[in-house]
Amino acid sequence: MPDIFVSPQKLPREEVLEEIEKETSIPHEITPPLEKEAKKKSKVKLLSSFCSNPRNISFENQDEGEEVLLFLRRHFITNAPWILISIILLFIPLFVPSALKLLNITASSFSNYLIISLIFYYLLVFVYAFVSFLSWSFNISLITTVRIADIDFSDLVSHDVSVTKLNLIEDITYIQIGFVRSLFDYGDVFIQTAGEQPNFEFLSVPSPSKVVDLLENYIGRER
Amino acid sequence: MEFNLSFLIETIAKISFIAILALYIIFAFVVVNQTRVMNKTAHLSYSSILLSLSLFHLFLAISLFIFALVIL
Repeated sequence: MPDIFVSPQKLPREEVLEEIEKETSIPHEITPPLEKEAKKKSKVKLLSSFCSNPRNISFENQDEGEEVLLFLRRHFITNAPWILISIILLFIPLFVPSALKLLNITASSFSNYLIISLIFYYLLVFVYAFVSFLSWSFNISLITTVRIADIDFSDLVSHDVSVTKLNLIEDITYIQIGFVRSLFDYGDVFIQTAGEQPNFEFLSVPSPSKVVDLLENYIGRER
Repeated sequence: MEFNLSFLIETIAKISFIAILALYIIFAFVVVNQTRVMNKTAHLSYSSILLSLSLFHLFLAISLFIFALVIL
């Protein structure tokens, strides 16, 4: 005869208690998504322009225990003009023999000068690309646990480092106008500081809305 | 005394080339120095690669100068 009612198998007391605990327990840490993102440690790579919580960067006058929370620099796509110019410049010497032929000049009479000029030309192209890359690479903005640092190397011989404390920030805004900027998701972030302190401009940084969110989060933590 | 125009032009060209390349060596030193300053201001994981590249550029500039002295 089939059983009409079968009582559930009795679980041992410890198991029952564990199950109740699981059902009623509250997660130890309720972390908002931004906070979670900020906690992820990442490495600043050669071409990266946005790095939250970077682990392999330090700067001059960094205090002991001061941690870099956000690393920013111009979006890589902003390098397109100098990369294109360098590529074009690389191919220009290919047209020199035909130009000499057109002008009826024989290269044999000054071949030594031509060789030196060619090597010198390629050195110039290399240094143009290298200096452009350096300017992009070292134009960085850092947000640490204590302050904001904006390091600008506008050209080879001038550099400017601005620093302000996080608690002096009054207002943060961002602008993202234009087709290219919307396509590659980059824009300008403006940070207004209190009193005589200089205002900060993070120009052409990737994901400006995310930068503003993270900054607000850090300021909130600081205050 | 016979005035040799082609010799004069060649000498001027030679001196100009050497002078430009000497100036370029100074510029290459500036690039190395500035790369050092940049590395000191913000130390990134690949800073040493950039410094090596600038030193390599300086080496090329000096080599080109010596090469020009020899062949011109």
